[in-house]
Amino acid sequence: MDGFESNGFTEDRCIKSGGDSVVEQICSFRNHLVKGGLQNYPLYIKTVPTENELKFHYTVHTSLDVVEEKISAVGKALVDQRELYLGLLYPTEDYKVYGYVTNTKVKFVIVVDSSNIALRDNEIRSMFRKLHNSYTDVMCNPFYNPGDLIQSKVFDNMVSGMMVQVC
Amino acid sequence: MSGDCVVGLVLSEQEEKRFSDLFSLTLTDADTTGRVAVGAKVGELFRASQLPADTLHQIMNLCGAKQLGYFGRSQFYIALKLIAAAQASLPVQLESINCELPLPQFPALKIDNEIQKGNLSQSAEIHGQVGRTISLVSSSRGIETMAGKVVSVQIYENSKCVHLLPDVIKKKGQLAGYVTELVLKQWAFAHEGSPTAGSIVYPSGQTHGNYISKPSLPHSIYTLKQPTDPEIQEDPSDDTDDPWRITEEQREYYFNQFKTLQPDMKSLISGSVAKDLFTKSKLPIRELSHIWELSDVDCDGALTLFEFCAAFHLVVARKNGYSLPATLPETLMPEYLQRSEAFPQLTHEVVLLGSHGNSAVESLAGQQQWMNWNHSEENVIAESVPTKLSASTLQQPERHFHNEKADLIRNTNARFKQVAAECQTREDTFFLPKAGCKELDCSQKRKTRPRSYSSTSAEDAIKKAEVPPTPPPRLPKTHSRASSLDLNKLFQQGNQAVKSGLTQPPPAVPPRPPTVKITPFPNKAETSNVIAEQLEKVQQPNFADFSKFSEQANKESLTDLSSRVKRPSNLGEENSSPTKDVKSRQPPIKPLRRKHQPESQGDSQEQLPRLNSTSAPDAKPHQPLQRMPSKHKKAIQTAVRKNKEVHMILVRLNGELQQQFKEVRKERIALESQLEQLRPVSQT
Repeated sequence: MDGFESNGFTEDRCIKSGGDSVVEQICSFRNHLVKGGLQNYPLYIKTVPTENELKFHYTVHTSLDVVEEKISAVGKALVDQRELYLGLLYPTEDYKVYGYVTNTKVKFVIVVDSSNIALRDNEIRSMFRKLHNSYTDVMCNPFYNPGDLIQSKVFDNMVSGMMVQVC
Repeated sequence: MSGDCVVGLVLSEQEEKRFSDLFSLTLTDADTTGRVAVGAKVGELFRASQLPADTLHQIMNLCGAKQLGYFGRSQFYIALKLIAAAQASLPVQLESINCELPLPQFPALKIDNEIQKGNLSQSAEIHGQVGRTISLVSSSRGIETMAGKVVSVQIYENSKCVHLLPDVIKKKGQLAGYVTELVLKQWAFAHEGSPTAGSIVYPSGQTHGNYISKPSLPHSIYTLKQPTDPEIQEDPSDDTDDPWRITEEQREYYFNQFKTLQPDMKSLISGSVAKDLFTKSKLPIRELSHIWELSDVDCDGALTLFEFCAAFHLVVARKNGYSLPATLPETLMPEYLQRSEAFPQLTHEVVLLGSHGNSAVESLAGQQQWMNWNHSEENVIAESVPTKLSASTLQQPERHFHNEKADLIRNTNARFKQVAAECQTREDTFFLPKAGCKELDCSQKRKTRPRSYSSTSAEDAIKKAEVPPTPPPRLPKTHSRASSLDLNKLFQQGNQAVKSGLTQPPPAVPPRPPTVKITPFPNKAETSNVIAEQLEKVQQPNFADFSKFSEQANKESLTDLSSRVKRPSNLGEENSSPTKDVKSRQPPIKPLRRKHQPESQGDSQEQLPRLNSTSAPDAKPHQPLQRMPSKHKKAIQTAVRKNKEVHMILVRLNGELQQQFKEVRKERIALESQLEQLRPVSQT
């Protein structure tokens, strides 16, 4: 888990799922170097093709920081599923980042382009719920070791379905 | 259909027929116009020609299909011509199609396979005839008012054609093939007199893979059949359901495996247990993970009996080379398996029908029509077809055979669809065989025979899966290097041997006195410091006292030494020993001795005078002096001995310290040189 460097999927669409973080959307790549101690590395990434991949990489990093901050801030009720709405991080960029953390500290991050008609909160929540369910299904697989890249086709398909819906 | 004009392309009669035949193959049944070929089937056909992919792309581009976006008849024909050209080693260009070309061959295509294997002559004539036949048939599919009479007569007359039918049909699906085979065999059997009947060697390869369960056959026909499975290696993707069907033996095996893992057949096998088992199969984790995903339908992290069967079956199939499906085949679904367990054999065939469902039915229908016409024997149809149809419908074909082929077509079509639909809903047997039990027996036998192959392969695969359990522990314990054999032995003998071996080298190392004696070093340093201090202290007063007591030194030194020796003090000894050393070697230290001596002399002198104060001052000092020498000789001698010992010790100590000093100096030099090396670097 230390020094873990994973490589993105070659397809253009990427949802990033990290080590707990899942960033879905328009990001593409995902290369997340784990430094000792901070084990936030991506388990899965999927993005929709766009030019500025690196930008989304930065976004993801910053969003992870914010997520961490929020987790640590809320001392109580850690068990509750929460949703993290970050709003516009960069005024110029016009996209929104949504976060979600499970009780096992797995983080899902969805990056949505604001040019899309703003998705409602409920929709985002349902997306996260679906992600979480799929993730639990992946975990049920005894051949999946927690911390591995998620290579489940079922998960992939679900995410692709969601991406299509979003876009 | 033969009337369709192909723009700009001149085809010979054979070619035209052949091409029509092939074109018809690529049509879907839903397409009544017969104009557009299904892209996927076209692709499949082209790939069957075993030309390289670039060539195929070239051909596709040239024939104009890309421009049009679909494969019309003319495009298709052009493409076929180009394929023929390519196979004839001619350049793939439009010009080459104007040459006289042989017919394009599609070795990988089942039809051609069989034809080439040829029970029968492969003359173009036959091809043409078949083509004509089939093309007529295909067109008749769309145009149901075909003059069936003409067709049937043609076919009927040409008995040779008939034998090709199973091959043709086979492409559409085994189901069709089976039925065809049945029908044809019946027909052949019935027509024993016909010259060609005797030469029938039916392509037995219709059994795709070992997992096919054949429909029931009349017993008599069964004996004609030579069941061999030369085409087990056919691309399973053509009939994906086949390898995914679990035979009885396999099922039993899986059940037994389940029992060994989990005695209660109704409960679950946990994920970790299953993982261990399947890991033994040596499949990559990625594939095992995929298999799990497919088979754990309820996603609970554990496998029910049927999920386990499916998973095991997938593992076996994968080991046998079949690629894993993207979704779980219907025949591996737990519900299906549950049902099939309840109705072991019958559901196989029933679902065979059902699973092949619409595509097979529809494709079959087309092929079946003329097939049905072929037989003048009503019995034939009655006996063979009823495996799929109810008895009542049998009469219909017979009637229609003589009258309206179109109606027959429709009926068989409809009936078949009905049958298929019913099969899907009902599980109980659909067989209304006249041969009743016989057919069941036949079906069982049919199943056993192919299953025997399957079981061997499955057993092999399973054995493969079972064999691995033992090896894994091997690897970690062996050394990776050959040269480590000795080490192996060593390790086997035990650590002690190794330790003893290891302990040997260290002794070679220790001649580093400083490391060993580093700890004592400070002590010795301290002692040496102490000694030095003492020496220094002694030295200073020496110079002062030297002059005074130089005369009495010799005599009184002895007494002093003795008195010194008598006083048990390390300090004294240490002082005396260095003094002794000094005296023997180095002049500057001599005064020490003398200093001590004078001191002791002084002391003794003070004492003596005090003692002898009462007596005469001159005489008394002499007397004690005279006494002293005799007593003190021995004392002095022992002192000398002791001092010598101490001397030896100190000599050794000195040597060691000298060595340490040298080494430290060396280190210092090395560090200094390093520093110098680094300095210019850092400065620049």
